Amino acid sequence: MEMNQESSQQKQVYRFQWTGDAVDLFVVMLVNVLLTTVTFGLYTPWSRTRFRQYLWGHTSFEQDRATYSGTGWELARGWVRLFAIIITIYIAFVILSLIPFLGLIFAFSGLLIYPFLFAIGIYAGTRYRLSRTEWRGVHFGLERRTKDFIWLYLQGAVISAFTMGIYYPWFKNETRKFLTEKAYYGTGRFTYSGDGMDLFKIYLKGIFLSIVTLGIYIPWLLLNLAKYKIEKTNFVDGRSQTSQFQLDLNGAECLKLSLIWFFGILLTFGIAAPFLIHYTLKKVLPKLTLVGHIDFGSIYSTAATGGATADAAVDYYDIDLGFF
Amino acid sequence: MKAKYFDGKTARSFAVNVRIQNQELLIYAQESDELLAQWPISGLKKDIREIRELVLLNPVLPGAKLELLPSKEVDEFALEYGYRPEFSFQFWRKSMVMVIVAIVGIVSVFYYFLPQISSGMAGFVSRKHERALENLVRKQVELQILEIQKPLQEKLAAIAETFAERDGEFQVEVLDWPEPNAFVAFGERIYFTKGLICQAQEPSQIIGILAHEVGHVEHRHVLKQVMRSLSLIILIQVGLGDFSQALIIDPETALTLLQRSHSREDEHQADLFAVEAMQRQGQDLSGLIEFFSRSRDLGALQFLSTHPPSDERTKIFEEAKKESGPVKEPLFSKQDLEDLKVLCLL
Repeated sequence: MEMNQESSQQKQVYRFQWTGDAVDLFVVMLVNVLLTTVTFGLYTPWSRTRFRQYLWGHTSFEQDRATYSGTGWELARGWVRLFAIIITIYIAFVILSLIPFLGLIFAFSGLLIYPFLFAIGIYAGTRYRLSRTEWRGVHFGLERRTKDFIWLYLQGAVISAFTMGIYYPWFKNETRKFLTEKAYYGTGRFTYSGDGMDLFKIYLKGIFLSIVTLGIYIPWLLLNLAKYKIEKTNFVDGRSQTSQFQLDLNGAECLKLSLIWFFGILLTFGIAAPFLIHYTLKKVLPKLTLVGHIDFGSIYSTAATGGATADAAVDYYDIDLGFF
Repeated sequence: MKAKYFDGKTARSFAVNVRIQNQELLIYAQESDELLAQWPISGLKKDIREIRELVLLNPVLPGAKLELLPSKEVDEFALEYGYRPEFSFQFWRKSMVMVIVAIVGIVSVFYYFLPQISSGMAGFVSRKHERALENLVRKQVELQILEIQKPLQEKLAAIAETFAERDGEFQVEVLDWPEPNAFVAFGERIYFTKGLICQAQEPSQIIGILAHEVGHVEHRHVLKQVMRSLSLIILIQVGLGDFSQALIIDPETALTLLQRSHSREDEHQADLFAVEAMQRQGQDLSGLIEFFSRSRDLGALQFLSTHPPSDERTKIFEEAKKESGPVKEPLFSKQDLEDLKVLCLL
């Protein structure tokens, strides 16, 4: 019998929850730091995996915990491939830049290498992480549309650069829409209804007020951006029933969290990081909900695919994957 | 046993009762008592990613999971079928073992591998290249050098070669610094400070300190220390990665503190070299003993010093003096010291 009975008239509220323990997380992170140090960084893929396993494994939705099924070896192989790619590109550029005229062309095209790598990193990295995430035995995933995403990303990056950043909100909105709508959970889909103009207004207001208030408004700006993106994201189950993500967090709470993080890290020289992560997740996750109707029985399992090279790129270039 | 059952086909979660019958787990829906699945116990695997709960996986059904809710029956079942009930304890035990292994690893890397690696790397750098490195450093740093009489400078260089028992390109120079000190840079260049020259009362003090500095040159301590610093920086930055930002102390301070013990070892090694070299040449050790007896004013700060405590050093020299044979003619005379002390008038 299904655990979540739903009414066809009344909207259900589906909740997230953090079930982790601060001391356990501290131990996980301590072991990671020590082993990473002693192995001169070689343990990093395993430490990342261990950390994710703990984080995923203690994030529950509807009282069932998620699972991270990625392995350290996958990430390690991804790191090796990434370094091989970077070194090859670097050597190719060094050699080609020595040729007169061609060197100039390559110097300019080199400017596009970073957005290109970022695009691959974001898309394929998200794809890897989602493919290794499961809940109730059903995998998440992202369609194999890396080329389309790279094209979208390069276009956005170039237009943003030429418009001195004015296009940036539209660029962020488009990439967000693409990533969300290509993601899936089994046979369930995600949709995104955000608009570039709305994001532009949030940025404009936020930047103005942040300047006027000497930065005090920044937590509100970040919260407004996160809330907008989250609340414009919907989940559609196998019976086409829609539910909407909601984040019930206000600016004061966000400011409080920012201050706790700032002083927590500063006063403990970073030792409190696991306790702060635990505190944040414990406070924020219950405020993230899905409101609507979901028939979990209509969501069927699908195969999971995705390599770890781009995940390594995401880590290497410290690319922010936002909600994912 | 009460459990949650996921069939691996859909995202449904079933509240179930689990019964054991003929080495099989019979999984019944709690509400309807309908038999949902029948899993042979022998083929099941424990999900090792789970820390606190016993979650069983059926390799035949990918994605299917049975999460047994904590109870006395589950503990008994886990014990009987070898799934170990104390999951939390296992996690802690495993973590503690890893912490101990990592600490032992870090200690051995620091105290064994790092000195070995730095010594090995230093071995690849020839004396010629080390001298070139020294010249490079000299170009970057402006030093106030006091000019010593040429014959005196040559004599000190010759004494240094005698202690080293090899032909080298030793050079002794005096810096216009008031603090009493002596040190070596890369290569074979030894620096004395004006303060040290002016405080020296006996020629054997100058000779003893020179022997000590030659010890540093012969053991290539400066080069090894640079290699160690580089290795430590790599260890801290690459090893800790993002976490290096969150160190209790900043990496540079950590580096300085971590290097103290190595520096003390180096000093000890140079002291032993000085004793051996002085004994071999039949030189009087009393000058060194007097010098270190006078520099016992570091007090509590000695913990942070890169040098071993003066008491320890004095003891080493005193014991060595007892074992030394008859004193031969000094390599550096009283007149030489007088000539050197001309610098104090500048």
